[in-house]
Amino acid sequence: MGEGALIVTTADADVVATRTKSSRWYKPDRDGWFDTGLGVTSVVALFVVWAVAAIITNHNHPGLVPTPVKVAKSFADLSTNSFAGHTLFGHVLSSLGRWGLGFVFAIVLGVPLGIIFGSITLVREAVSPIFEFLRYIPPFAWIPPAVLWFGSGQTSQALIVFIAAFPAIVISTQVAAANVDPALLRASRTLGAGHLRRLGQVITPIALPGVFAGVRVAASNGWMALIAAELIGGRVGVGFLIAQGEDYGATDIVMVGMVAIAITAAILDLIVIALSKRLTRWRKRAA
Amino acid sequence: MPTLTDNESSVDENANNGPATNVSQRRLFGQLARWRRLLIGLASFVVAIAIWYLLTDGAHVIQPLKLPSPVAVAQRIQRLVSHPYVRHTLWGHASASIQVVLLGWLAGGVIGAPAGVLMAWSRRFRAATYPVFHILRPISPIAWIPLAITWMGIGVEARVFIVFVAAVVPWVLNSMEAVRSVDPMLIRASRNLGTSSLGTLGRVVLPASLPTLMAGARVALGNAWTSVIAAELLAATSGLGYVALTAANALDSKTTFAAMAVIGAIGFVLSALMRAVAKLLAPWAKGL
Amino acid sequence: MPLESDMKYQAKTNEPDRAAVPKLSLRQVSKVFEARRGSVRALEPTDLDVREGEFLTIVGPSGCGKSTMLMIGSGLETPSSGTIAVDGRPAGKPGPDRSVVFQQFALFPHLNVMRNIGYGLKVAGVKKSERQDAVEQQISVMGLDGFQKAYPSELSGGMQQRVAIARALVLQPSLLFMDEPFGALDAQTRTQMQDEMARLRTRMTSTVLFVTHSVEEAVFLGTRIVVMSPRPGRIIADIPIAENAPWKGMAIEAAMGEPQFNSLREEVWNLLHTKTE
Repeated sequence: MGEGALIVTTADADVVATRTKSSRWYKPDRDGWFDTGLGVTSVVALFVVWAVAAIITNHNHPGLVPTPVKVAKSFADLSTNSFAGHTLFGHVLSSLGRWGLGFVFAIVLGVPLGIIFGSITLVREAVSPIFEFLRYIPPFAWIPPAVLWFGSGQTSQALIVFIAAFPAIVISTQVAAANVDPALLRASRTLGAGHLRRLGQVITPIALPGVFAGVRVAASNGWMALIAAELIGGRVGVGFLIAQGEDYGATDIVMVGMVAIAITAAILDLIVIALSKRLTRWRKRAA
Repeated sequence: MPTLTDNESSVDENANNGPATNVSQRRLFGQLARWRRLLIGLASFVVAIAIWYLLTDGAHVIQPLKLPSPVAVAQRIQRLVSHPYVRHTLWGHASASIQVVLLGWLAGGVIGAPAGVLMAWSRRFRAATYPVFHILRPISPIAWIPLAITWMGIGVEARVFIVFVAAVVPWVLNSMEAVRSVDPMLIRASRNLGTSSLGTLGRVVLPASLPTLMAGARVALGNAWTSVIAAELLAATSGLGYVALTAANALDSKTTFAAMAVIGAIGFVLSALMRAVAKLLAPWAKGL
Repeated sequence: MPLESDMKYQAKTNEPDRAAVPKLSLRQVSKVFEARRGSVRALEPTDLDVREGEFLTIVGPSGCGKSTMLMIGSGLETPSSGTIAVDGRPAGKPGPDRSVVFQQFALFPHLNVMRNIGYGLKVAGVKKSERQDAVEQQISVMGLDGFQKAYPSELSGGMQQRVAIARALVLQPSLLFMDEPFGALDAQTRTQMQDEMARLRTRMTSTVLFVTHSVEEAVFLGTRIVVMSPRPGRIIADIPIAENAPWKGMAIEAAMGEPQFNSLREEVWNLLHTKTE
């Protein structure tokens, strides 16, 4: 039962309007247009500063800071021509493949495990401490052992994605499952549902929003871990592309790679969000 | 926490008990619940280590090249404390990592927290700065590493920069949220009593937003710690991450896992420290 | 210790056969909870018999154990001591035969109204077409027409509770447990629901245990009132009410003007607020 608008109205126009249900950063009023203008100006300023910095440094260190135009050109170039074996898109796809492998495994293993941990106290109490300790080891720290075990090949990179994604999924799933309203569990018992039914038909669907929150984080963690792995020892992929650019001193290629990574990350995020909205349509839809 | 059995129930724990249980009995039952959890946790930990030991030193199922025994790892840690590995002792590498983390984290806070607060407090400021933030934000610190190396070399500056990028985002976001989540009634009351905008900010909003700020600080520290390891894998000549990767490339599994254990331990200590500080500064807050 | 109450309120007609086995029987049932800070005695050993067809209301202050007793009766809580029998036989696991309506509705948020109501039937393996018929019927009884596809998050409190009641009733339980079902509703909706409950009562075959804070509610709806003392809870009074008491059949607002209603209400209120030793 969310309250509606909580607007602080004072004489001082600077004090911000806090959350309303439909609050956006820019309201379509006169003030809003001015704000939009401010925003656009600062973004443009960013690019201008960048271009100026490029031109200045080009004096002594040519190519160190590529101009925005050069980066755009390289982007177009890499989209059509191969570099280090593939076009930009080819590299991205290759990276996505390994990411997908590790990520899917993390979900397939992590969600059921999380549901079980979250529902059965004894299991959770027994296994949690181990998880808690392992959580303090950052995902990238698993790259050295992965290199030790599998070298720097495909398998090890997928494994690193798995290790990066798995904890987020298990933990958020576990929390979501544990936070299912006990009244709902009691209700389902009184309606005749046994343990298995409760797990599958009550706990899992209700925990789904929380699971997706973890999936979102895991997707981005996994993607970043993959890039790191590729930077260290990849032979193909967008991380490798960047490393190559770095080796050749082609900073523009490095930046193209950075942009590609960011765009891919954003797209992945949007896909996960869209999926989560689709699968949890029962959530508060009240106007 | 719901279970599939009904051992617990939602009951008013604060009400008086009947005459049958006295104070010491009550306390005993309460302690028992907590000890039980601790015991189970400890037991599972011990079991995990025991399995580890059995698989390696005991039954030799796993080769020492792949996973050294806990004993070997412990011994290696001990050795690294006194004998340098790649120019520094264990403590030298650890402190190198910690210094980079702290510098980057503090820099992130010094810049990110005020920025976030201002973004929430002043609409103009937010309109001007948020779009830029929104554009730069998706570029992960990892992606910045090659660029940082190209521009700054493999030195401390590059790593601090990476950590800064990693830390600044949660600092900004959480500071923004911290201010936004302050009950508008408090703000209105303060203004009605005649406090200036700035005064309200300082005396009402900031203290009220402290818990969320602390949470943001903690997330930022976690990000910082994560990213320093990544940075050290690529752009370092010292530090625990550097040690781990160098050892892995040299197929020195003992040192690899020794470094990992220390990484985990430091992560734990940092987290515990953060929690303690948060409790100190904002003892009324829950969930810290 | 049940008090002798005014003969006027004793059930005169339709007195059930005293030799008949009670529908629900709690014997020396008690509950102690192990909480973080120690153990909590929620319910002292208590006996309670509920006869078939009764509408038993249980009134008591917060924490007196009435909800606990209800939960034990429905099988959702296991007692620390004592036995529960349904129709003379030891009660088993909770199930659709002992349906429960909760104060917080406890509707499945991910299911729409139809699916919520039909859930118990589905678990019981009832075929889809039969299920749909039963659910549709319940929907019109509870005045939920048009809301079949709505989700709980789109419904007001009163509507949600109707769905919860429908979900329980569609199973035609022999025992219906209601745990302060109108406690989470605003005053007006509550009054509406109280009248609805009285109306429903006439078409129900279930035996009802109804826990409430509200003395008015208890007197209005019940055919028997059990009054409990503050924690640790004990039954301090057991007052039968005639099926044809003067206020039955009125709306609750009207009933509150009825003198006999008020004197019984006062009596119960006094019981609740006397210190027992």
